[in-house]
Amino acid sequence: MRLPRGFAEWGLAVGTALVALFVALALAGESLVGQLAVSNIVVVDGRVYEVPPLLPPGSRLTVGGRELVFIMGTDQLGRDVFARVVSGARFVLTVALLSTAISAALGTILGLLSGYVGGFLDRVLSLVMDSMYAFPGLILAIAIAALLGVGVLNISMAIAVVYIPSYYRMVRGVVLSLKSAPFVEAAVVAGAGPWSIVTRHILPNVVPQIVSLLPVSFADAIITEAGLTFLGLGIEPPTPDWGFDLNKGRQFFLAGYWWIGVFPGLMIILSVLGFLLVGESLNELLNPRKVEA
Amino acid sequence: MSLLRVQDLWVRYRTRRGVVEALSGVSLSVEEGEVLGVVGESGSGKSTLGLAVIRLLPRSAEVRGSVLLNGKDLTSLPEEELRRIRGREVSMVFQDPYSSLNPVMRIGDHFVELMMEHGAAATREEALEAAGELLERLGVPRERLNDYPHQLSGGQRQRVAIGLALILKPRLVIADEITTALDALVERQIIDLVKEVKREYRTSMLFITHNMGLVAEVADRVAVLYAGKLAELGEVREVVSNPLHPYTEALLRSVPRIGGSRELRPIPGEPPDMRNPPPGCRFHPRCPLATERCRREEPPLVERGGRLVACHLRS
Repeated sequence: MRLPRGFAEWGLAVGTALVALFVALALAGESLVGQLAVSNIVVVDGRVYEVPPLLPPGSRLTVGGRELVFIMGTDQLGRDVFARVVSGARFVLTVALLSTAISAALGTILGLLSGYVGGFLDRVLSLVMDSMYAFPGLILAIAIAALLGVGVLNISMAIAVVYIPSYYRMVRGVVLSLKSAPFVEAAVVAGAGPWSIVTRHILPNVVPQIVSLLPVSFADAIITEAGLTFLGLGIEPPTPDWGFDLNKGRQFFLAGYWWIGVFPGLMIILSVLGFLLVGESLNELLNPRKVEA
Repeated sequence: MSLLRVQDLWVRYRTRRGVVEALSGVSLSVEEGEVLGVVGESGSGKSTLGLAVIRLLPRSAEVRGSVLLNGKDLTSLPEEELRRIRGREVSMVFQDPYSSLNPVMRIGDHFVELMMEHGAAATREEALEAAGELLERLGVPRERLNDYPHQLSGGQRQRVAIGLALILKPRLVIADEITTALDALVERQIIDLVKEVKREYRTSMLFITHNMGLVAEVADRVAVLYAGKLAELGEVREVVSNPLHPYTEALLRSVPRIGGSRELRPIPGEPPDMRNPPPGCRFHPRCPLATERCRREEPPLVERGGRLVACHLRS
């Protein structure tokens, strides 16, 4: 093993570490921290204790002979901020994963169709996609989320719709240039049908471009998710979620209870940073010419 | 009956800057087992001819006339039927072997896909077996089937492309400037390979090139195209030893020959702007022998000693 060299390699190392951390939290976080993420009730030896609200970070509390440490304090309802922050990873990453998958899949299919078939279909699809692009992403997501209501799938759909045009435009562009590539024409004159031309000759050559867009749009999806839940859309309390908690914390911030909002906000920043670093540095490492130009 | 019969073929491209006439009433035929060379400068319409035969022209192209392959008119065949003919009865080798193979597909998969699509092989293994055998005969080691195109040299790629064009045993292969992108040494090898293929497989070929020297070596007959029209058509040996059209002669003089004492003479001027071809004989602005008649009257294609030529001086 050698140390990373240069911005791209360091970026990839740090980004991967952050991404790994958040993925681990999303998978195992909830079972690690237990009930205190969603309630202020602690049960020790059959006796019920209530955790007081608004404890500052680092507070210790002895209940029934057991010492509890709240390294990030407790929120306005006596729930453990650390527990909420840790288990909040699951909701946001699930939504980001789902919405990225949906938008990548739909955007790719529509882009292939539009680019390959062309003509009237292409015009109509491009017009629709461009009008969506012209809309501020978050506003569009808010409208759709408000329409669809709460739930992981609903909020994922709301975010996915916003990012379909990015994939659509990129895939369509690549398809247009590949359609007249000599190897595609060679396949045509060898008698290949449209299905095999699209799936075997064009699609595999689009995949690298799609992959390079994935981490960046994943990070975008996290921000959009946080924005929606900040406004209280798409999520049902007491599900732990960073955006939702950030908004609650904002109300208590000026009163001096900064820890309720700062830690969830920090998580949003770190997770987005992790995915962006991975995306950008991968692009730079895998495609050095593009960066130089 | 001829294997391929092109009759009075016209091709026009509608562009933003006007209508370009790429082919103006070309008729020719290719017999079974024959190699017909098609020669001309850039813009003479020779590539358009090849693309028109296999119907790969862009949508903006307007085609009139007929292309009969085995009696079937390819210009009016439905898409579905055309697809069955492409690859199996007529196939094509392109100019640039660096971009005519799919960069993300192994060499073997190119063959597997082609053969399965046409029902020429029932299984992957069967296709790979046949492909390996053919490649070895074409001078490419069988192990190359597992490689990706970028792992092969230009010459090997062109051999693979030729293999792909031959694997389904088509009756006609269109070779469009297949050595232009290669260096001289590899060009020689590929030309030798083409001659061998011609001998062994008896495949008919439309051999498109701008190099008169290659035609003399490979082809049985040659069609000389100038500005979208036939200038001369006849047996290669006769055309080369005694060109009837001044353009053919000029083409022959512009081919360098090692050790030759003859002076290398380029053709003066440039090929005409095909949006607005010159009146009369299209070659007259560049022809050293042009007369007043050449400027006014278009020369008809007439037979002269078993050859076709379009020149007033020969009629």
